[in-house]
Amino acid sequence: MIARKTLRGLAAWLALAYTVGVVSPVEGYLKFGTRIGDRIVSLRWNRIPVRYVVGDLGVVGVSADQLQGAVDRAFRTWEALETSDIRFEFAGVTSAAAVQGDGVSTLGFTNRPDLDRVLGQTSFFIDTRSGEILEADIFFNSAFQWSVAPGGEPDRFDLESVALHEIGHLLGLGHSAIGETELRPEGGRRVLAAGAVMFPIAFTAGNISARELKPDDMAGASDLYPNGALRGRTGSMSGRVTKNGGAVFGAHVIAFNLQTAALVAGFSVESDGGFTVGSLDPGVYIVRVEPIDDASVESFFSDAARVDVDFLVSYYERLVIVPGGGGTDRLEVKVTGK
Amino acid sequence: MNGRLALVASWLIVCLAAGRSAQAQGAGAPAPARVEVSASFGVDGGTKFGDRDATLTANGAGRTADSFVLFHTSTQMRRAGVVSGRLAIALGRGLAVEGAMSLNRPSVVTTVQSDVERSGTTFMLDQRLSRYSFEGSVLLHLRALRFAGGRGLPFVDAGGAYLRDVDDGHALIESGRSFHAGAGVKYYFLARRDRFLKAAGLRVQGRMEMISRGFNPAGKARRRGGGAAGVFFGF
Repeated sequence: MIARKTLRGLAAWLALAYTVGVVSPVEGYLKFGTRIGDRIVSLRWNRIPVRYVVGDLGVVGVSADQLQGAVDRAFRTWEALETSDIRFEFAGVTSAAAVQGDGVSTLGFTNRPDLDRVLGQTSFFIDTRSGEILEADIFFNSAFQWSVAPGGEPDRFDLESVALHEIGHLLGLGHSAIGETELRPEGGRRVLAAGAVMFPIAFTAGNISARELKPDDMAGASDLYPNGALRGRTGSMSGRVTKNGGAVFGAHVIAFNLQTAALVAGFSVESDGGFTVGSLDPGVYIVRVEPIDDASVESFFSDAARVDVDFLVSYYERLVIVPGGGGTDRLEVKVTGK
Repeated sequence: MNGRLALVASWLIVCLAAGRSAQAQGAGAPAPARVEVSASFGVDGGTKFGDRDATLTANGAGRTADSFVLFHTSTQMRRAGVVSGRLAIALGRGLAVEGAMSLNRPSVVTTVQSDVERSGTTFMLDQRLSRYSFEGSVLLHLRALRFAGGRGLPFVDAGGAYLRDVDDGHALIESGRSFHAGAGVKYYFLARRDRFLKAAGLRVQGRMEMISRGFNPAGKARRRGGGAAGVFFGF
């Protein structure tokens, strides 16, 4: 079934990538960024709460009121993060279609049968001088079967789960690579497992387990919109990934907390193979580095040709201590070619 | 936990035995000095912190999610040498209070196995710690159990300690505490009553510890054993 290999938000990422073209290297997990002069600035909302309206169209199985309810629950899930100050405000229902550049962030159903692998898509309107997000519109593709049932419904995609993912993009987060996929005989990939709501491939229809944020999602949102009072509670790690002494660009760096089992990840996105993973709970970590081999490299980087995927999974040779309110730096993870 | 209870019970029994027989000491045997200093070198036993899996949420058509193991980890603190310095003050009739400061440098080692993309490979990751221990104990000499003509003097001790764990990068500074109980023997080479240096000899001891907090990926109290040998001087 087509829906099993649906990519969420891919078109949005590509569209944004064409416009902006870079990924912020400020912290680990991918965030949308824009180059201002010689700096790369993360895209984020400056005017908080973020106001949004919801379309008044329903689809088979989901009424307009149920759409609003599912979207509202997804917004509240992001708002509930203790370590983040992001806030949202429902500004009403609209019958108007989303118009890029009108300053109104709209979420609703749109029938796009031509996008046969896209469940939802987020598009942005940004101030390229400051990196401020001015507007973000999200559509859910009504060409698919949707559900808002509390326990999910077989063969229908869970609207709240997809809304949670797209709202992550609305915040300024890119895709997470914490997940495993397998090639399907008929083409495309099927997700075996995911460790983040922001993983680019959706779970199978009927599955509702993506209604809960994972540590990687939380770290990303907390990094973009930190709760100032709690910022000193978290720490970071940074270093570089090398192969035969040279820099590795686009390596996926996973930090695993030995106490909490939380997985938070980032990428080596600097020219010297540098990476930083921030918003980490203090503790003892294992650092695992892998090539991006799940989904497609284009799901994560606009500059896919630079991404090195020719190396074996490796671990940093030491356990890494992350202090609260500080960072551990100069880690060098050496990988070897396949 | 049963081991700890058994240890405490044994210690209490020995204490009772020591008290009952304290009246029957021999007159010529060396007596513990008023102040005693000692230095020792020993081994602190390793500690297993247990296993932990890095898991993802498995995909499935069902409404509940299963776990998908990305890799498996097992972590332990390896046994390490420990150096200690002690100062004991006699309270009378074989009872003494003792303060000690110890340093050891254990390695914490995590074994990573069953990586979903490197299933046949085992990775060993480590981190070296410095552990500083500041402890206080009550020490009871078992005079009734002296041997070797009175030169051998068994004792039992129990107490607690404040721990400070620091990693080599000084990124982690963790505090903890421990409770210990143990037993040992002092062997006197020198025993005299009318000189500044009243006693000297060897000291050997073993103990069990319950440690909470400090560097502890498992998050729960853990037990370890240890032993040490050294010299003491009584004044």
